[in-house]
Amino acid sequence: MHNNIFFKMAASYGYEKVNTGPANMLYFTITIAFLVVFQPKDVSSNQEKVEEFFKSDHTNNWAVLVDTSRFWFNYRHVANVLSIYRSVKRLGIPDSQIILMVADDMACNPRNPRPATVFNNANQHINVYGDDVEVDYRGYEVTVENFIRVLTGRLPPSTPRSKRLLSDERSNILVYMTGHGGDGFLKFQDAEEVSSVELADAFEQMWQKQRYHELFFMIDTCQAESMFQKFYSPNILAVASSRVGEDSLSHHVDPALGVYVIDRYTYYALEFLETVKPGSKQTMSRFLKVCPKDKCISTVSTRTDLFRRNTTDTLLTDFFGGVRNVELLTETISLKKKETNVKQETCSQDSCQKLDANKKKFTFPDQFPKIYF
Amino acid sequence: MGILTDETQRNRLISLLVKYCNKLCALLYVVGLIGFLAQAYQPLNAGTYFSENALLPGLVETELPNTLLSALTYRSELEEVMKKEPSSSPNKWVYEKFKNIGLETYAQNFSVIYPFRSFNKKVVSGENVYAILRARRAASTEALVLSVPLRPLNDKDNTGTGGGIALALGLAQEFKRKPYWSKDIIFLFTEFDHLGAMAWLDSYHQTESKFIVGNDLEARSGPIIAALNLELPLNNVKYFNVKVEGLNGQLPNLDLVNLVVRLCRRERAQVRLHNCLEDKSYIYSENGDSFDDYKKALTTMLKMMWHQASGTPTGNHGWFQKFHIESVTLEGVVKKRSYTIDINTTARIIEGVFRSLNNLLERFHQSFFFYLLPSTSRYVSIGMYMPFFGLMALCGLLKGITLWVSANESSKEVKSESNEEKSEKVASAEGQGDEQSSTEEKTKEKKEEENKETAECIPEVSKDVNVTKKENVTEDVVEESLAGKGLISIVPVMLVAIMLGWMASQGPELLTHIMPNFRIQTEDMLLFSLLAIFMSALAYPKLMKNKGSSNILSLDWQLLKSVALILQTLTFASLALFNISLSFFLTAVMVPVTVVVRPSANKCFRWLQMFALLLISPLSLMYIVGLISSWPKSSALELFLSAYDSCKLLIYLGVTDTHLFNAWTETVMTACIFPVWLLFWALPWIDVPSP
Repeated sequence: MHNNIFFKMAASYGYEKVNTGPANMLYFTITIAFLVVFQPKDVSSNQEKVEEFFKSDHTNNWAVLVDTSRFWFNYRHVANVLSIYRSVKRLGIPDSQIILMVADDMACNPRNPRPATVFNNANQHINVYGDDVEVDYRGYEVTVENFIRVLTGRLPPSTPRSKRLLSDERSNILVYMTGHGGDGFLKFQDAEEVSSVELADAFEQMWQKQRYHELFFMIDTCQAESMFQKFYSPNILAVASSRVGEDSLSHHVDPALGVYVIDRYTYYALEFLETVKPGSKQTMSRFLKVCPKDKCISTVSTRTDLFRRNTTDTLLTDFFGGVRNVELLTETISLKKKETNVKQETCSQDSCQKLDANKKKFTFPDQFPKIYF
Repeated sequence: MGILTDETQRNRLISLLVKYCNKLCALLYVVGLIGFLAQAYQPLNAGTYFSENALLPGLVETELPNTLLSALTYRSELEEVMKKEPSSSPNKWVYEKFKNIGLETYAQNFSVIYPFRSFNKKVVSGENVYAILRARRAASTEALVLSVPLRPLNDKDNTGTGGGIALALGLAQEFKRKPYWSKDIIFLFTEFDHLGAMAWLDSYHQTESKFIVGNDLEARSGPIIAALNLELPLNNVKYFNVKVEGLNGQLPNLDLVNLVVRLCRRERAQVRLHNCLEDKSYIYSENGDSFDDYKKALTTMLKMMWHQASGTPTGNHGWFQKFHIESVTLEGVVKKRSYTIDINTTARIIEGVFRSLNNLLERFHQSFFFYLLPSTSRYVSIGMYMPFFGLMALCGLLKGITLWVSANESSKEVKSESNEEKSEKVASAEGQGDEQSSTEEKTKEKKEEENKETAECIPEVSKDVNVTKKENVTEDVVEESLAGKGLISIVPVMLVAIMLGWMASQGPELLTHIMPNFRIQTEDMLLFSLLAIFMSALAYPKLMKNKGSSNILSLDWQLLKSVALILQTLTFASLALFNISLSFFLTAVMVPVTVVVRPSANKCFRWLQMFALLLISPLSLMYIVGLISSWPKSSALELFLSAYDSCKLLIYLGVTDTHLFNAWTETVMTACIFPVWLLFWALPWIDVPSP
């Protein structure tokens, strides 16, 4: 009930409302609740702060983490993806908002001398397959079809919520992929591959279906750069571990396991991420320079032309964290009422009756939002 | 217009071919031979590399203790046991030890039925012991084999394998503790080397053999992915030999060979091919292109080819290959007062090999199955040696085709001439025929009428008949000469040659069954029966000559030679697909003689040809092989005698292997090479008019 009241107030302030996912709504509502409860007084001097407060324009964070390769000798790819999973979880994205796809079960592979563990370092400090790992798509479920369906939201109705990417136009999404790639494709399992064009089209669909606000695409594979060259949708920031024609290399072997345990790019990215705390002010521009050529051996390549903001002003936690800014103010802020042409769709008991009068017959919404056509 | 469709172009090409055929043949042969042998030159071959990602050789650190005490204890125990009973193999002891370790241990009895009837008929029976280490966390769907032959201590012919047995026991004890096996490991101990191995493999795969009968296995695992055979003596060894050549010249996947070599190098253990020491410079590129290096590499490659050509496995690994199980033998070589590799090093190497094999996800399929090895770390792929072999083989084919073309042309000329004659004659005969028929009618009438009349008319009629007879005879002669040129004319020769080949391949065994029990060793029996068939075969052109009328062996020698050459090329080319070494040696030896040989009026040249042909006959090739394999001997007589012995043994083993293991070498030599050779043998016997 309280949520409803707060939401109404938020809506009356003219902010675009959130119409998908109760979790998102909750975040947004709580944020506004804080604002409202503490009734700021001095309006004009704090206007700027508020601007900064909503600078990134996103209200929720999602992560899609994909390991596309199976087999024991690709242990490192599983370790890569599980390490990133661990980091984003630590930085605040909850399991319900992480889609984790792992193509093989390394922990239970009979060749694993330490059953039920996956380590990303020969020192074995951290078991990345620890207590709390929720794998959403595993083994042979990791297919190109499933991956594209998850991105574009065209899953069969029976799919549980945990396996869906329930993002909206205010979601910042981190897409991390690792596996064996070539010029213009990334191999899935041992049978199929996703091409860079297919991936670009999937992202465009996501944009058109208002499934993301900003997207950070990160890929660690050979010739990784080729995967983002075909992107054409707005608000995508991309980084790849290697140029076209280059191999991405592994970092080191765990002699006790007898396999390579992590790839170079992911290793140095993680090293950086380990220093980041949930409230950190680290920017994306620093993260993009995390692995210089002397460390990675391959050349890390980035693409920023589709991204509207400056990477130096973009917080790392905009993509890797799920923590909303909460600032306690003692002053009152009067928020300007924005003009909105979006029709009011929620109502209280009083207003609903009015709405009922001119209630239309329900129809299915269009596949693509009309505003873009 | 392409060459093939343009008649004039084609004719020009053919005429060129006919004109320069001999020079071209010589060129092809020389280029092919030199090119093939040059493959051992370092810059021309390539360094070996791993194609299979999953192997990850040497990445994993050893989990064995620094000194594998258990293996040392087993070794000393085994030594005592074997000294107590030097004439029997330690089956019981091995069985007990594996039971004690706690593995599933089984014994399998088998018997070998002697394929020939002989005066000392023997049924050999033996016992294999095997133990299965089940992978803890996998479903027994795949298996690896570590096999060691069981040999008694006083086995003079072979070195002991006690070290291998002790090591297998020690490793089994260690392996059992590990949680990481994804495949079952079968420890296999076979009595009588190959006989036991074959019996066990047959039973494992439930295939039946007529002569080797093994009991059913009490337990088995999944399909066997790879096998490692150990021939390690009790003492510490100086270096390892890696043996690859399998049944019928089959080779294991190059990845497996690489794996073993790489892991030996990692433990700083010297590894060689057929005892050939190799320089580091040759292996690791840069300065491996000196002539000395080339000579060494060529020796190694030829030794490898020599063993491959025999078609007999160089170790127990060869029998596994028959079942598509990639396998190699690691043989330890002891040199007096110098050893570098102790049992712990060997244990680490084998552990490494098995951990790499454990990583496999699919059968070996990535790397080469057809290759030659000029060194343990360099290889000549099928893509490199085949073209040069092809050139050598092409030499025979080219000559054959040229002869075919020219034979056709000459017969065409003859035919066209004879056709003209014929048509003229037919034309004239028609006219006469009418007359004749009319005369015949007349004669009939006359006969009826003049039956009782005077005999005056008769001479007239008989005169007519005589005329027609004469004409018929002339036509027959023309046809006969044509038949002498045609393909039909060489059919009898070919049939006889094939018959003789069949006799050579089936005869010896049949003889041992048919003949009464002479007190002759089977070895001698086989050799003598083959000799008998060979000698009778030598006489066949003479016999065929005498059988016909006085008119010699009247056939088109060009056609015969052409067909023989084409057949020969066909045989060698198909042989090259499964045993390149055998095919190469045969081509190198036989092609120069068979291309040159031709009927000649010159007696001296004819005798020379016959001698050369005899020299390359299958039986004398066998003797030459015997000579080479028993080469260093003090006196010539001793050499010839021992060559005779080894030749005899070679034939005996060849025939036995054909029966026991389905080896092909003997069949190829007798049923394919021998008949083809016989076709050539007929050539110098054909008379040609002296110029």
